[in-house]
Amino acid sequence: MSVVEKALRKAREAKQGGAEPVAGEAAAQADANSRPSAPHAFAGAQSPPIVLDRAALRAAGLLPPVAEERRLSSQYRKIKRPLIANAIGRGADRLPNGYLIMLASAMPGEGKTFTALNLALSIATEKDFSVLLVDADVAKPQLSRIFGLEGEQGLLDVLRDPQLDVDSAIRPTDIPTLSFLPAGKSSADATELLASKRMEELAQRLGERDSHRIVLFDTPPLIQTTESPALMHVAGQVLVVVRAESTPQPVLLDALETLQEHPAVSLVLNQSMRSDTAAYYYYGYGEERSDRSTAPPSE
Amino acid sequence: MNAPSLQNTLEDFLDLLRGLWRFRWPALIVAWCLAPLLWIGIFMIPNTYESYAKVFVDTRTALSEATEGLSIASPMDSEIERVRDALLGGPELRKVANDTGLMAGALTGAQQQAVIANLRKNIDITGNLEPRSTMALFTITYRDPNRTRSLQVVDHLLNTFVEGTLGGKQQGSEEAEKFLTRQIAAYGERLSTSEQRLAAFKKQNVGLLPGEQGDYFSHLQTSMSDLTKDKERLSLELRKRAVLSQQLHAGQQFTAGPGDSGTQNPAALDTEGQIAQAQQKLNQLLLKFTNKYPDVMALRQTLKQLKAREAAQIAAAKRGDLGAAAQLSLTANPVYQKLQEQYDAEGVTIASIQQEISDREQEIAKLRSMISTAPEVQAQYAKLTRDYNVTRTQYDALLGRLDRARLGQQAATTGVVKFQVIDPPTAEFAPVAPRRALLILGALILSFAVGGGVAYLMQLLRPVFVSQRQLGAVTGLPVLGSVSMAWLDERRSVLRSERRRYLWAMAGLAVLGLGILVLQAHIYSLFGGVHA
Ligand SMILES: Nc1ncnc2c1ncn2[C@@H]1O[C@H](COP(=O)(O)OP(=O)(O)OP(=O)(O)O)[C@@H](O)[C@H]1O
Ligand SMILES: [Mg+2]
Repeated sequence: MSVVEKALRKAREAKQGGAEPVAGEAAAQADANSRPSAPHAFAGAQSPPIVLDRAALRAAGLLPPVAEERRLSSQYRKIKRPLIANAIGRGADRLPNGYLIMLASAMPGEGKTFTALNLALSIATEKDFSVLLVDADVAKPQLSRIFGLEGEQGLLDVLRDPQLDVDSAIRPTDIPTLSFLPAGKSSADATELLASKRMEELAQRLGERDSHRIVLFDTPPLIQTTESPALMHVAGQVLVVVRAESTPQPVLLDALETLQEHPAVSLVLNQSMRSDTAAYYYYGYGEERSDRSTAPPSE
Repeated sequence: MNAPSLQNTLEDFLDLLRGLWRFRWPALIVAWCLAPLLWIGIFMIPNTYESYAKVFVDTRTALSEATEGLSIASPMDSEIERVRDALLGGPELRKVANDTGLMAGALTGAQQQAVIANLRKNIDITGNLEPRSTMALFTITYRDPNRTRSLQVVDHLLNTFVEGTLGGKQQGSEEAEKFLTRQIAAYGERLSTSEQRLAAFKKQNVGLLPGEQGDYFSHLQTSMSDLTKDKERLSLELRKRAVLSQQLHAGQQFTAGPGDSGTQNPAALDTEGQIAQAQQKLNQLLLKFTNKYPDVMALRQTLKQLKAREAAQIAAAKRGDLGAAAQLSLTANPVYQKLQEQYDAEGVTIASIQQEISDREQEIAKLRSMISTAPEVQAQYAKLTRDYNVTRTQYDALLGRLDRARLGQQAATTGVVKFQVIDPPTAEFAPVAPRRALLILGALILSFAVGGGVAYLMQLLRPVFVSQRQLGAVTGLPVLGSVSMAWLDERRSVLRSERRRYLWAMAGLAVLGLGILVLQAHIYSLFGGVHA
């Protein structure tokens, strides 16, 4: 079962099943409903929801092929847990602004966008959380492009125009717990805008809306750009994507140098070619248990 | 505790392999470049063929028999050495080199020297001694890039060896004889020098040496007692002479009476006879003695007197003065004459005794003066004598041995088979060196290893991250997890074809190596120009 399917199923259940929730899910559902805003509430009512075209996303190389979904989703599940714990955890686990997670990488093409989307989908399957995916890579707004939102109102417009409400620029998707903020209309001062004080304020505001919302920023690579340091100040957590067998060690270490002051930097190894059988067995086991808890093992 | 660390090392190792795998193509390219170079190098090494011959030899020769007991090194070993030296000697090898065409290119002396040295280096002569016997198995081995020539060289050496051994039967004893003769000559020389030295010493130190007269002191003693004896004798003789002189003065009384002087002629005749007698006696004496000899001088005096008297007698007789003649013949009176003779003889005796006394006195003085050096001289003498005796004994022993050697030679020439060629010159058709198959394989493996080394170096120079664990270790940051490569299935075909290509490229090199290995003989002949 794909992440998207799972998310969609969850959405369907939420629509019709408010009346007859599954017994096990009742508490969570109730808890979620008691939040200041329901998952769908922050999406602009006027904007039509983005339909996630799985085939197109796969074709664009942003979703894993069907055959490997299980494996990758289990890997992402393992990655998202500590991130969520830091974002919304209780007591000491909780980091200041932990719900603002910046996806970074030393070099281009390491898989930030891929990780951002897949991680977002993975988090979206969690009933307790909603995810806002922000395309902060204004130079190469890959997500905006694939969703057909290039040039549409987005992050840059909101930054440029203080009058504009950010909520109006956020697009809902066909997965209720997942919404998307496009990059916006590109301009020459894009970099400055991203590095501006207003960016900080905006980011702050995005999280404040919902205590169970997690905001994922897809950003440009660290070594080439000046936007990332600004975002870094805002983000409570930085997840650095490292492409296995490709990123040179010194390059990564240089990039990490710029993140030195950040208190919560963690890494993820992407495109690993290793067939770690022991780990795979373990994750596989975890995945099955997780599947059972969310849906009957129909497949 | 142990298991995780073991697993860690295993993981490290797998990480390393993965790191190396990234540079598989550079590694393979290096191997592909290196291996052919090495192979070419291997074919540049000229082939070496080995030929050998085996000879069974009885090393019991006249030499060992004759020289038995002489201080010569273990005869067997020296025999092998002798053979080796004989075969590997410069002249012999030069002959071999000339006959086998090895010398063709060498023009200068240095080049020829090098050819000979090389020849010597490549010849191996080993002798296996049968324990406790006189048999030895000689193996002559030679290595050369040219198989035919290697055979020729061994053949040549074998012939020399056999001839040497054949001739060696006599040669052995001849040599022994020669050796002994040489020794004898040397000892003879030594003997004669020591003899001469002894003689010279003796001459120099006469009287000081122990001999028939005894040693120095007894010699001195006898000399002194002889002196006293001589002195006594002298005084005796002097007294005798005094008496004779008295009698001679009273000689007138003997003057003959008238009866006696009746015969003139006898008197004259007598004088004449006396002259003849004296002359004869003088002649006799002169045969033995010089003119200075007292007897000779006395006789001459007498002869002169006799002749004067004869002349006077003849003159008187002519005048007819018989009285004068008679008077003259007084001296011819036998008694008078006798007395005169005795007196003269006494004078001679006295003179000789005096001479003797003076000699003895001189000798005694000399002996006295030598009293301090005498013991030394005696010691020296003893040493010289001993030397002489030792040399003499050796010399005699050698002479005896030479005799025996001559006998032994006769025994040897009666014909015992002394050698047998067990393996005539033989050579494998395959070269013994270089072991090209091994080298080709080695070069292949080495090339791959060097490729691996290059990959390793590149991996060190351009390190990447291959595992979650390593990523955490290098950065010191928490690693939340790893996401595996998606589209592996699709990519797998690409990867697989790439891997297939890679393996083909690798196998290609290996197959090329094996092909070269199989066809090495042909390939070597292609390189013929290089080796010629
Ligand atoms: N886990 C993965 N398995 C397979 N392919 C992946 C994986 N992660 C990323 N990729 C591929 O790598 C390429 C680059 O990924 P992505 O666009 O996410 O990188 P990026 O860091 O966002 O690059 P950029 O800095 O240019 O925005 C994409 O073609 C994507 O399909
Ligand atoms: Mg991107």
